[in-house]
Amino acid sequence: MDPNEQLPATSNKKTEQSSQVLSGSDNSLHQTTQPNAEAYQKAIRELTAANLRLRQLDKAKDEFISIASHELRNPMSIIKGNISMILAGDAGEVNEEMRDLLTDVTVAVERQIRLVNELLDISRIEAGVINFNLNPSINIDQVAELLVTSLKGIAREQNVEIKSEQPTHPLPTVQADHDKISQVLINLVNNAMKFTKKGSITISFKQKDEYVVTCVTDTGAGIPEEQKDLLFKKFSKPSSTSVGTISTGSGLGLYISKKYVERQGGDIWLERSEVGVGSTFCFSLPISGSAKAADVAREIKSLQPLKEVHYKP
Amino acid sequence: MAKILLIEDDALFVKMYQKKLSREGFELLAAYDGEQGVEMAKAERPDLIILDLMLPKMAGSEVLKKIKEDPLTNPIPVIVLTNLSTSSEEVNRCIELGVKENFLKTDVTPAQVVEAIKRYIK
Repeated sequence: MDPNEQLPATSNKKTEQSSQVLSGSDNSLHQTTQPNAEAYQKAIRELTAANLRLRQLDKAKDEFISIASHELRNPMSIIKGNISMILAGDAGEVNEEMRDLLTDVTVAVERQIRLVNELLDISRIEAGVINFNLNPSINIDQVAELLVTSLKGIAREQNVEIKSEQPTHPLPTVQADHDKISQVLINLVNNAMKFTKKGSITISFKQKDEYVVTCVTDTGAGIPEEQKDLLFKKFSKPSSTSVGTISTGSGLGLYISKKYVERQGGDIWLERSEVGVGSTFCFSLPISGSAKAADVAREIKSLQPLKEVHYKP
Repeated sequence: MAKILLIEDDALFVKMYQKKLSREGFELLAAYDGEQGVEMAKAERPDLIILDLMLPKMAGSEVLKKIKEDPLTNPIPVIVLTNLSTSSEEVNRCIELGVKENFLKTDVTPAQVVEAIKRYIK
């Protein structure tokens, strides 16, 4: 027999012997500390089962959200798409009356799309399955500048001036998710535009400790004292009588903004507001490289969901 | 005539694009699930692929991976048209694998998608 072939067998025997020795000592350990060891084993089994159950729940929530996105958004994209084709004349000539009615349908569908987007944002936030793509250094004043440029035309039509103030000295960059922080800023500016009939909307910046604070100030309707506590709550919107306008929003924007900012390590608040004078809303974000930024990056990394989104009808 | 493969499971959505694209002078081929999508991409070698991500049988990112792995289908430009937001893992996987553009279905009209198509095929 080839001596090489014997080698594994010999070493196997050795392993068996040593494992017998090990299990022998293990048994004696068991005997001396049996009640504790049993409780320990039981706790491990229970924790493992609970952990599995949590993972299953997490998966169920995620599947619900992906199916909801699919089932709610698909029909709306088909309504919107087909109407856009009719309005473009793809299906033949469109008279004024038809154009008027179809335009109303388009406005309604767009409103519905926005609502569904907001509801999906909320369910993702609450299910903890939302991804934050943190960018380590964002110039928030540049994000604001881009937004101001894109909104200048609409603001002018509304007789409102919109501007972004140049920071007095160079502003440090912040750590944030670019898309989500743009969404927060757009939301604050849209709210300001909705309630401002004349005057201006100004975005300003300042550094406060390890944070950059961005504020949106308007010369609009202002918020009555009794409504201030409800601002960041789900589905809250000002009653039309108090602000002299009909609000068509879902009342979800500030709630989503608050969740987004908080998850990125900042805060959002109403700085001041006076009826007939205007309001200032501010939010803070941790400066790049700060201790808070490092904490948030670590936390978001540990919470990042690992998900296969596979839709099965 | 330029050939476009639409991998999409919703028949009404396919019908809408069938109308729009034929009007614009494109030929549209439709695959209704992920596996069929990969097969048709290989067999037909279209000039461009429009890919939905939530598909029966095979997830969109898996379809894209298979298209990218095959040297014959690798150069075909792919546009993602989905209901999943840009912050989802699935969309990020596709961006990493290499897509030309990605749109949320509710954000765009067929006319806007045609504009995007024309950026990649004449």
